Amino acid sequence: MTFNSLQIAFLCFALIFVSCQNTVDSENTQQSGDWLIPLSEVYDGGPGKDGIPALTNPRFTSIADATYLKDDDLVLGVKVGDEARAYPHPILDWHEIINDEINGELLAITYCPLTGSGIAWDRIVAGKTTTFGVSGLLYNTNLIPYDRATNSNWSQMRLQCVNGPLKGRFAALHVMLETTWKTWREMYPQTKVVSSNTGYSRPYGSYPYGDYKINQNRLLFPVSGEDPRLPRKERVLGIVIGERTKAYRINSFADSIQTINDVFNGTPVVIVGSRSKNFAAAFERTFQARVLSFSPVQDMLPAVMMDSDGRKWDALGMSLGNPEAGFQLKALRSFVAYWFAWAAFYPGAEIYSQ
Amino acid sequence: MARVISITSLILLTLVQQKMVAQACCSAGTPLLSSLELSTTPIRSWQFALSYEYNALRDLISVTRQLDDDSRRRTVHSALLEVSYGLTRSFSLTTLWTLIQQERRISTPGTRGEFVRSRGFGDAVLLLKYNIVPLNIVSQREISFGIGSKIPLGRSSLTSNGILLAADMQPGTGAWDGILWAYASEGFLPKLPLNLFLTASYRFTGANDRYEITSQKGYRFGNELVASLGTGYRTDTPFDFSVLLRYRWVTADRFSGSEVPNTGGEWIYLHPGVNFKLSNDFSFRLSGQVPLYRDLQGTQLTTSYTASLTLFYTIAGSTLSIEE
Repeated sequence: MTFNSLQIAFLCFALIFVSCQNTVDSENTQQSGDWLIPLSEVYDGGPGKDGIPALTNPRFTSIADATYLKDDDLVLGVKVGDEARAYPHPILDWHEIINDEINGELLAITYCPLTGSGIAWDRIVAGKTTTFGVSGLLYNTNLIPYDRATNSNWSQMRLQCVNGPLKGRFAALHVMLETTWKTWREMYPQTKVVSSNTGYSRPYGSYPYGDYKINQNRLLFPVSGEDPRLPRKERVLGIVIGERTKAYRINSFADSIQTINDVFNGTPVVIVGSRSKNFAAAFERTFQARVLSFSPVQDMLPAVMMDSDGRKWDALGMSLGNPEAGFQLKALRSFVAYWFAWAAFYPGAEIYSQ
Repeated sequence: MARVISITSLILLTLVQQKMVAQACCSAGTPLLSSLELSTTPIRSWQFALSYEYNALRDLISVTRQLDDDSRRRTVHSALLEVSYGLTRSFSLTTLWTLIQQERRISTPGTRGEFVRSRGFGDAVLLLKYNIVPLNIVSQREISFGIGSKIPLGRSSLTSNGILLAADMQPGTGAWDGILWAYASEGFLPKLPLNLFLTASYRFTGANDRYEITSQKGYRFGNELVASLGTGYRTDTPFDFSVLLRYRWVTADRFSGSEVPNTGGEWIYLHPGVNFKLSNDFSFRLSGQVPLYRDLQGTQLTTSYTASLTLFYTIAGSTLSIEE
């Protein structure tokens, strides 16, 4: 190479610099097209689509073998027929979605660590069976799952498809309870729990977001509205009836089991919960065309409340004991989340006070 | 006398060339200037360093433990043009221009996978260097300091399908940073054909205006310290060799005043290289970098190795002026 040719090489490189265009190419990323939510407030969370790997049909283990769990770890619990299953936060923190099948019921446990929201969705959407994956996108710092059948994006806390062929469709929910591992296994001693042998190498014993759960100042992505009435990270059970929403503070329940017979937006509802047992659940009070009132039941788990006809019910809204076992109270569209997220998705939410 | 000065200048420039390494390292995948090891430039001389660097981020590390996971791969291609000019016997000015291509490939089993690539101008650096102890053929010692800034020329707001790409997928950071730089070297000719050198740079990062829709705006990459201790070995052949240990320490990124989890940490790299001299003015360097130690905050996808090729080109101003 001669002196001149090297000079030319530098010159060419300089020209490349000057002419360089900013470009973005992608394959199999997101749906284009309209969104029901402001696109400017949808963010790439960093790991990418399926960069946080959802689990599908994971292995389960017994209580005795679930040594990776501590008593106060939170779990999301589901029961279909006699089969109770627990999906622990320490697994969901790393996977966010678990696609599962219980006695023929197809469901997706979706959990967003940044908004503290866990919701069980039906996996039959528009007549088609699907699995959900983690899109890698966030809206109001909340998980946007995508269904793999249509590549549509869903807003978890909005409970709605917001982009893609199924845009506008609402998710069908399964009854689910968020509580501690200790409470759940006291309620359902035969429960199975997701094994830490997931097929992925992850440090399931460690929480991946530092002090995020308790640091009230820390947000990792913007949210579109702030409501200072409660601390950002306070956990609330939110219910949605029509266009109105209401939040029940889990820490405001009594240590013993407490029931709240309420009427919200014209619907009689019962909220049952306990601060020490760390759970709250919401159901309609109308059963067999009659409005019932409920009172708490202590020290008889899984029974947590009794109706005015003397039937006992568990925290999943199922009646217990013969001859009326197996009835199901109608669950409300409700789930637990951090207050800041609930307020961002449902501005102007009422807050229950005694 | 002129001949002595000319020869001296060429030897000094050759020594300097051994130490020229410009590198864009990554913090959370975004190329940032993390290492400036270009020595000061003799008066009225020009030095050019044209580099290509391939940075493979494949290792998923949880604190110090490598996780068995290869589903997520990041690659950063960087082209860097470093230009330095000797203003006086003591002061020189260095600029660094970058082109960045970021790639993210997801291949989680059971999924269709994803690939995203962004490309564009990266940020630039302007650095003023002061030579406290000038290199000379007798003492073979040099000490220099520098101060400068990283200039946010690169785009930090690229979108894919209308969605703002993650901060670590942008070619630029969108923030002005301050840079402090220091360099020291000691040669041992004619007893030993090698020199030892120590470099350190520190970057004070600024915040950008990312997420400007809310009061929670402002993303700031972590402050960064890079220190390298190395040696260069000269041979009588066109080949020279070098090896250095590089220590890198990065504080956590911050968003809206709070630390961002899974960012920041400490790294130690081994960085061997070989130079090939085409002439007194031109040389190539082929070098690589592998991690020896990593202690990261949380779980991060981080560098598995880097490989780079650099072309050095010098115009010796002192020589020309004497001959004139």
